[in-house]
Amino acid sequence: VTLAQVKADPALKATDLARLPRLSVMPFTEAEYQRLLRLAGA
Amino acid sequence: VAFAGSGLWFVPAHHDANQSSSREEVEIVAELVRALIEGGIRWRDREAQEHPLGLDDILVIAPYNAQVADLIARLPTGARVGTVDRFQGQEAPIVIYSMTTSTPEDARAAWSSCTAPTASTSPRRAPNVRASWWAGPRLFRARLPEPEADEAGERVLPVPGDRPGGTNRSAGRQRVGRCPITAGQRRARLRLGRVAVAGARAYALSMARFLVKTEPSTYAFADLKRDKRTVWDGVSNPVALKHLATIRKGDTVVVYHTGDEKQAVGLAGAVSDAYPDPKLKDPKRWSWTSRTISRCRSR
Repeated sequence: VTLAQVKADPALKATDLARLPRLSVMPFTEAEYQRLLRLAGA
Repeated sequence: VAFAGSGLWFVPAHHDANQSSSREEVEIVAELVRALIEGGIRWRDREAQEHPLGLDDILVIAPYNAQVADLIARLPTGARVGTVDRFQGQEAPIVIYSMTTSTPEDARAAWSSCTAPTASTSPRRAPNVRASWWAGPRLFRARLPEPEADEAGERVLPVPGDRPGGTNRSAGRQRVGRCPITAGQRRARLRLGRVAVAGARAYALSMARFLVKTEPSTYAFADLKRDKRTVWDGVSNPVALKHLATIRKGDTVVVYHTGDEKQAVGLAGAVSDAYPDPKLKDPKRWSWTSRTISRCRSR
């Protein structure tokens, strides 16, 4: 799943991954995690 | 100090017909937060270091966005307020949970779009949890689905003066006792225990999710697959370290490649809690292993 996909996704664009490019460790909520998995499987 | 020591406190907040917001609880929480941060209170972390208690050490959680918005407006700027989702995997010496809803009937209306009314703070993670609930007492009349939670709640909360088959005796006691409790209060206490048991179980089942970045030319996901397990260290950013320190055994971690790739490439599982880096004084590092989790598809 690319950063471009994450930034383009309405459910993921507010995550630290999209907002804070320099942060190297970040928590994900269960909903965000499931969304990411769905994008990965698509 | 009203909440000295560690533990879980329930504080009744009497109100009616509140569904997804409660002005009464906002005021009580605001007063508590003010008293806590202005009270010169100190807390001790898991390394037994003492710290002065500040606004940043208090998490305020409410089940509804409406209540969260009201709390943010009322509390000092910078207060950590949110729904459970926002704080998943985070910890604080003090967690205040505003139950918000007055009664199960009100809750039914408000909960229709939610899952369980999990009253859990984060006892699994916090070394020294001090939590308070502000709630309408009648809320605990809510029926929880699992009968064994009911039994467990009744087992763990012995009620003075209440014995099987001792109806007359217990009734007599209530008349002459110094601090009699009514049948309604007794039921409320049993239900409080039941909610706590259900909340603890829900928390135990929850697993935190993280994302970590790595530069593939330094250490790629393929290297992790080959090594099976590696120690993850060298993190220096304070915010990243703060998140890293909350990682616990069993948590799932998305591995992300930086540089030209800029994509999530795979999943890994933490095989240990985060622990202080033995080579350095302060930062944390942790160990993990790759599990049988597939590689995420790239563009």
